[in-house]
Amino acid sequence: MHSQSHVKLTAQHREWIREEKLRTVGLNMLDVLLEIRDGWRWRELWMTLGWRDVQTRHRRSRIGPFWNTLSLAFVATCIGTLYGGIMARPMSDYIPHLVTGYMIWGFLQALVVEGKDSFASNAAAIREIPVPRTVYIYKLLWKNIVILGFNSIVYLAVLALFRVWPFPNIVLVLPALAIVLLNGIWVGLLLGLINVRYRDLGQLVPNAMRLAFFVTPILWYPEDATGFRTVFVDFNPFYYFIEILRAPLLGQSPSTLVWGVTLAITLIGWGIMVPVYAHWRRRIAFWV
Amino acid sequence: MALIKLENITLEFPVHALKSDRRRSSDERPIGGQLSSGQSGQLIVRALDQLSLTLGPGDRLALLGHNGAGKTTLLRVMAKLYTPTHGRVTVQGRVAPLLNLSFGMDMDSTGYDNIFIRGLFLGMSKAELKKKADVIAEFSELGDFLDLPMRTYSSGMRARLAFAISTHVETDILLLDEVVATGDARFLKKANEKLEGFARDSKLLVLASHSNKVLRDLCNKALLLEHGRVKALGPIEEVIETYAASTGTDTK
Repeated sequence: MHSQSHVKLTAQHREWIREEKLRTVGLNMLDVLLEIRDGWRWRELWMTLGWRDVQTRHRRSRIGPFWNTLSLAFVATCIGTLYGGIMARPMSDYIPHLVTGYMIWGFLQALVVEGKDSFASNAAAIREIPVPRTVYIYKLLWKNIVILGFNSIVYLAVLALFRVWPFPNIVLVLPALAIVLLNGIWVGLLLGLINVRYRDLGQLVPNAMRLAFFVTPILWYPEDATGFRTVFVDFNPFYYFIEILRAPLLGQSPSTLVWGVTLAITLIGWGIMVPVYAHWRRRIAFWV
Repeated sequence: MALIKLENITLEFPVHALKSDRRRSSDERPIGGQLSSGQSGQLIVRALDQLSLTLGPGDRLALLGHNGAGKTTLLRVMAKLYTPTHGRVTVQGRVAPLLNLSFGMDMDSTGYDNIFIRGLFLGMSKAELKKKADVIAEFSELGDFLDLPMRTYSSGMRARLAFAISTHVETDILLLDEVVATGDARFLKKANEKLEGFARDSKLLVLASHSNKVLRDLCNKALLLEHGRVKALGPIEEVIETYAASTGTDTK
């Protein structure tokens, strides 16, 4: 570092130091982007680890990861018939809405709740092996994509049962999923970083997410929120991320507003994550 | 080409969630790094202090020193796991760290599965691992135990497997932390042969250990650390003598 305290600095010197600092900041941010790219090269590792995570969660059970499927099927049957009746909606309408929404929520929630632990839960590896730390993020994204795959069996059954025809809009699932995953990366890196330093976040996040589940239109319909209650739809980021996937899964096209808001959140999230992560990432190994 | 170049490395750990209000004695302590208080009374451990070192191909460095002298921290800096607070680290070549035996080992998976997990972590590809799995299995001499879950293994058996995997990676630099010692005499001999071959291929080896015998067998240079500072650096015998003289023990 510069020890400039005892030297009288000319304007020229200050300019040099400022340039040098800017350059370091720029290089640090470049390092973040390189780490994000390098993590991709380790896909054999994170795919293996992610897949193993899915399996080990249901180790020694007979039907293994299909428990995910089964649990969603229970939700669809029980909550579907009960809440569908309470809200006086036809089953053919409510159950597809519920199943898609619930399945996507499970995915989003896992990205946030597990994202905050992306470094804390890999502490042993971080102190041991110099792999790009984005590997741990990709691992958790991949694991949850696999779980989403198991859950989508219920979705396919619901499509068949209620004769929902999602084509051609279902192809929009691909760009929508890409946006969600991009958000998963910044959420995992940012929350993961904050959580290794301030562990209270780890307690806060699951509580907040539990509340978010009820105030997000998953069990209920967005158009049923009236008056001031529309704030739970209009100003709820989770609504937009649910809708961007739910609409194409049900054969509709997400509105321009939904694309716009999710893309804006993606940009803002990355805009915050890159400089913050660039500044603190070297400390992670000391904090975990 | 293997190269490790450390220039004036200082590494300070912040110890969070711990305010240092207890008065510490300033006398010479036999263990640990240097403690000091940073801003807001936070405790800071200086684990490495202005350390410079250059290692090239064929160098087999032994790390000596009391508990907490900074041996493992230094290995972690060489593995680029820790970024030093000050100073510059240049490492050229692929690095395979073997710092913790249980790492990358899933106790509920079989030994054979663990070859793949740890191997992937060390940067091998699945295809490469499929080719090498048998060689690794043979080297570990675990035989049918490889099909049993790791939790049935003794610590020596775990060490054998971990060591076998790490030394079969295509690597230029191998970093070992007090691991070879857990094996039995037979494995120790085998490990020595493997590491000697490793050194003959002009690769770089850094080994931290308290066993002078192991260090003498494997290393040609030694670095003696004391509270994170270089106390002595040179041919292995001389440094072992210095260390023994400073602790008042014999050199066996």
